[in-house]
Order: sequence, then C-alpha cells, then structure tokens
Amino acid sequence: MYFDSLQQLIWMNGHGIYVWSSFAISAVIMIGLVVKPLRQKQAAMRNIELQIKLQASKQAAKQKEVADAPHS
Amino acid sequence: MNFNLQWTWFHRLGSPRWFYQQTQRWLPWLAVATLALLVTGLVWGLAIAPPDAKQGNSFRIIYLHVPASVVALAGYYIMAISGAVGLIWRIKLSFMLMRSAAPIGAALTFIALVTGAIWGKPTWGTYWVWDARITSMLILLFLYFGVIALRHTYSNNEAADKAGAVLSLVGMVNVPIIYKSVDWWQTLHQPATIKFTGAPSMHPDMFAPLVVMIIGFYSFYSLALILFARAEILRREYRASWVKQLVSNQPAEK
Repeated sequence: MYFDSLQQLIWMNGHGIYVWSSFAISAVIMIGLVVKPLRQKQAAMRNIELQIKLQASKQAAKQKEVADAPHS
Repeated sequence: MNFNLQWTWFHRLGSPRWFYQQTQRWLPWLAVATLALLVTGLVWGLAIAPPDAKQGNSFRIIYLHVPASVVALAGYYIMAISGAVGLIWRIKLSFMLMRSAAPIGAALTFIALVTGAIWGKPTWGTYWVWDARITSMLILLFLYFGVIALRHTYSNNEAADKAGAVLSLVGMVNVPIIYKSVDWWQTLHQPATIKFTGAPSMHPDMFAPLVVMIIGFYSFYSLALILFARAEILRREYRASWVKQLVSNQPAEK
C-alpha cells in the first residue's frame, strides 16, 4: 500500500475529494446499468404473464358460452 | 451443395432464443469475473500504485476515466456494426443488440466526461474547456442520446431499428476524430497514454492496474450488454411460444 494510514488514503493530500467523488459517481452509474435491465426484464415478464392469464380467461369464457348455449 | 445447411450456424447465432438460453449460462461467470477485475484494479490503482510526479494523487482518476472512455468508443463501434449487420442481413437480434448498446455507451461516455471534468479541476484549474477531445466526446454522448431517442419517435419497431442503425453508422465518422483529436489539435487534453505502437508513456507500476481496469470495463460492458439484450428480447418476442413457456414455467422468478 502506498498510503500510511486510512486517513491518508481518504485525504490523498487534498486530492481525495476529486478521486473519491469520481469513484462514487461512476459506481452509482454502473450499478444503475446492471439494475435497470434487470427491472426491465421483470416488467416484461410480468406483462407476458398478464397476457397469458388474460388469454386463458378469455378462452374459458368462450367455452362457457358454448356450454351454456341452449341446445336446439 | 446444400447452401442452407452451411448457413444454419449463422441463423442460429441470430436467433434471440439461442442467445437468451446461452447467455443464461454465461451470466454468473461474467458477473464474478467483472467484479473481481474491477475490485482488483481499483484497490491496486487507488491504494497501491504510486502517485504521479506532477499531478500527485489526482492522477488516480485515470483508472476510471481511461477505461470508461476506451469502452465508450469501442461500444460505439459495437452499436454501429450491430446496426449494419441488422440492415444487411435483416437479423432481429442484431438490432436488439444495437438498441441495448446505446444506453450503456451513453452512460460510459457520461462517466468519461464527468471524471474528466473532476480531474480537470486540480490539474488544469477548470472543470470544462472546449478542447477538441472533450468536445468530440460530448458529440459522442449526443449521438448515443440520438439513437436512444429514435426508438421513442417511431411506433413501428422495424422503422425505429433502421433509423437507429443509419444514425449509428453516420455517427461513426466521429470515432476516429475522437481518437486523433489529441494529435490533430494541440489543446489542453494530454496525448494518449496507451498507444498501439510503442511503449505506454507510463511507469509499469501505474500501467498494470490500468490494464486490469480496462479489461474489467470490457467485461462489465459485455455483462451489461447481455442483460439489456435479454430484457429487450423478452419485450419484443412476447408473442413467441418459447417466451410464453419460459414465463409460465418460472412465475416465481421475481
């Protein structure tokens, strides 16, 4: 390790604020780049699930209609 | 000779289903590799490497600034080439990759600009100058924004894909300008640290962690690209039977 203490590592002879703020901003953006697609995927899956359910209930209603129809 | 047989691998490569299933297996390894590389590179670069003789500790921003810039530029090629492949061979997956590359490229370009601005304060005494390198990077950011914005301007996916591909290809002119900007115009931004020909203008103790960080950023890029592409596949292939099966088979995945 180049620095003698943790305090020096944070302070970096006055440059710490620049180095660590760069690091923090990059970290936040990069975490966002992983979280966002995962959320998009979840949302897409939920949508497809809903559609499947909708289709199933529509089909069930249709079948019921046919079954309930009076025989002539 | 059976022409169709020869090209099956090519079509399989362009199949969203094949991509989705393959990447499922790659993701954990890629995630572990990315995290290991980035943590190693950062600890090495921020805590172990010696400070720069002129710039002091502020030079450590290089370990974020250079990898982000390098991959933001490479990412533009990836986006434009995906767009071109989509236009020429009409491969849907290719367009999906193009769209996925845009937000990642924009984010990395933004990181490059912001870390550069922060680095500029202690080094040049200012956050921003209209230097050739910085201005051309800002144009790169706007090109990425353009490709992202185009998807929302068309209600038709195919038209949006084509427009995005054309914009990416036209914008490719900017990339060599960015590379060469530090040589063509003698302005504030320092010349390239890493050259394709010749030794890097950097001490090995400082250079080694930079290499680790660049590989780490490439690895991160692939990870993010795969994640975005998988979401895009589910969003656009919702009618496909394999997608429906996938969703109904794992409703617990939250």
